[in-house]
Amino acid sequence: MSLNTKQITINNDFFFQSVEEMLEQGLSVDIKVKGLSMRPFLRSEVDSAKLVKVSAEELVRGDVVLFRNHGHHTLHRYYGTREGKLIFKGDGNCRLTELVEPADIVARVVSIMRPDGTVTDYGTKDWQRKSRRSLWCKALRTPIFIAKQIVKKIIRR
Amino acid sequence: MRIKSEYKIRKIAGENVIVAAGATNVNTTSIISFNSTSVELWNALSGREFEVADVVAIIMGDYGQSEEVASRDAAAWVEKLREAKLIEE
Repeated sequence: MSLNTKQITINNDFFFQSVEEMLEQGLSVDIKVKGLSMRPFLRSEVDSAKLVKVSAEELVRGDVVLFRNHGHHTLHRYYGTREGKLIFKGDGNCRLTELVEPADIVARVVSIMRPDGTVTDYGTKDWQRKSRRSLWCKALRTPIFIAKQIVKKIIRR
Repeated sequence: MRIKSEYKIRKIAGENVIVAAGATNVNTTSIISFNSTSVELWNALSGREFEVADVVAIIMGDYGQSEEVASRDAAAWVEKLREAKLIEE
């Protein structure tokens, strides 16, 4: 007879399907952040994010948003609209941009929870400071990234 | 001891998992998966005070296990809940 609890790995797509169901019920949902594309604002496997359902019309530039992206879910920063689609970029991504249909917007991050128990809420001065710092890192990384790409091209020739 | 009231069983991605679930928020950052037997024990013991002896009685009664096996399984199950901080003494 087995009574033990067990450690499981939940398929990401099925997991987010459940997250969407809970958001639809009007619940906020805390998730552990995975992936490097929003660093240093959100640290992979370290920070957690509290999500609340949101529509495309409610988004404000700079919001960090969960959206459906080619069959998967992505959490990136909102930059505005272009030809009816919404533009997103990860703070840790130097070039990659996502164009998303309004219907694929799922939720907005309203709090970030650090492992030490610190909570940073959406719209607070601390939130704005962390966002600015993260975007500064992106601004500094981008020319380095481009320079590396140029050097690689030259070496290939 | 008592199972902490903020922890609930939810079906996530087809698995029975224990999550901290309040009236307005579900915390999925730390989830524990339960097999069907653990789910039945959880449901039977939620919302009331219980001792290891109560878990033993359920296992013996519902699953026809000997007292020796039931005592060992019950102690292990309660210890898992303690480790996961799911119960208050």
